[in-house]
Amino acid sequence: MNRLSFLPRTLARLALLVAALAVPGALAHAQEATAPPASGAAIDVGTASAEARFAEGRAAYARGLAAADEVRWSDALREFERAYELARVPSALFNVATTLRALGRHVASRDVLLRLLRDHPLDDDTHAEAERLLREESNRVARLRVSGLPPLERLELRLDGRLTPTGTERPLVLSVDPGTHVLEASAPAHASARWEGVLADGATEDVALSPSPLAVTTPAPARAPARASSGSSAWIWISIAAVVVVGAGVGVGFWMQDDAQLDATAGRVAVSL
Amino acid sequence: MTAQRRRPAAPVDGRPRHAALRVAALAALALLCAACTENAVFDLDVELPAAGTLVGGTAIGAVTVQLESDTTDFESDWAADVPSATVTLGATPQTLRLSVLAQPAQLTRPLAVRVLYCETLAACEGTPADPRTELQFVLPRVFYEGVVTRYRLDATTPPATTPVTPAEIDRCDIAGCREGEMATWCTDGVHLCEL
Repeated sequence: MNRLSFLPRTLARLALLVAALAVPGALAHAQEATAPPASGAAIDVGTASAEARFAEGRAAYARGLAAADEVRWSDALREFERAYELARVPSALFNVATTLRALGRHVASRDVLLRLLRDHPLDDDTHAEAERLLREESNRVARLRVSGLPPLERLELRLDGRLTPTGTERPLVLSVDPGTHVLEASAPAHASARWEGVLADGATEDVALSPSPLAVTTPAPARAPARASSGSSAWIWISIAAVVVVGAGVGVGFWMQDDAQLDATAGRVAVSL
Repeated sequence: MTAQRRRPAAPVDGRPRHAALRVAALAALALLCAACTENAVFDLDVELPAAGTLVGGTAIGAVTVQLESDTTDFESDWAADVPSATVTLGATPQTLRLSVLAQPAQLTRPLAVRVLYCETLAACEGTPADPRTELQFVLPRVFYEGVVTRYRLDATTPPATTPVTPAEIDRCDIAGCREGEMATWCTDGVHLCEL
């Protein structure tokens, strides 16, 4: 990631966009996002609420610019996201995309640019710039084309440790940022299949992941010894009653003990020694 | 006039009045003890190679992982019914994710692990197995009462020849009793699960 060469252009862009956010037209745009008022009283309340949100959004935007100026990209991202959440202005969303790019998160940057172009009317210059960035980001996104995934009900696919939807289309295509990744497919009673590799900008890698079924040998668990009771004459009933009471107690004890014991971890092949 | 205090009446037969309560308390204590967790779980990830890895010119196609807590003797084959898992290797490296349950009598015993590399699944499942080579590990202490511990065993590289002595895994490398990743799971030589 060439952050240094990116910095001056980004800052110039940010400076332009903060100006855009400050102009009355931007505020009007923010207000468009609120629900249309139904009465005069609602107009006052709605406007005041929208203005308060916009003011807070503008403050977040200013904090984002300051963070970007100090190359604190994670902080900048958080503030620009907050600004967009509050003010809904395209300039904030644009800066979310450029900050994601600075962080090397090209998949997310691409998706934000797509959203910007889809959801907001932009002036010609900004539209052209957003399209140019979208092309750049799309070209940097790498892809994993995953084949061999079996149609198992409890199949789990994890990309860099995070659960990923397996979908139904095969091969499954996953968009990923360039860099090192680990992909793991697992299912109960199967050995998990794992791929690890480094992807360059725009690279596409074919990965075959097939969790293999397991044959497990576990000795049969030992049975609990049987209990016996005996008695004679009148004591028979007393003995039976005592055995029942003691048996119930022992049963409760065993039940509680069984309940308190650890089980094998879910999703793994259970083996008893 | 002085105030008089009543003393509680002494039991008629001289025995403490709450003997029955004491018995009930002992019974309850016994039940509570019965409810204590006594077993232990060890989650073992065994990282395996991709199919086709060569050992002495033979492509490896399957692996059996055997577990034994009764012996650490690797001189001879273990019984066919020792706990084990057999897997066919895939096109990419795989991880065999085991969850090993131990009962109270087994907690302090070392765990011996044998990774057998075979040409085919049938060879691994044969009695005795027909491995081309194997890796051997001894884990001196992995189980702690009522605790789930974990370890990732690297078995991605089959040895050209079976080693003479098994590799010993330091008990301080066995994760457990704290979240996250740590360089060691001991403090002052004591495992965190023993504190």
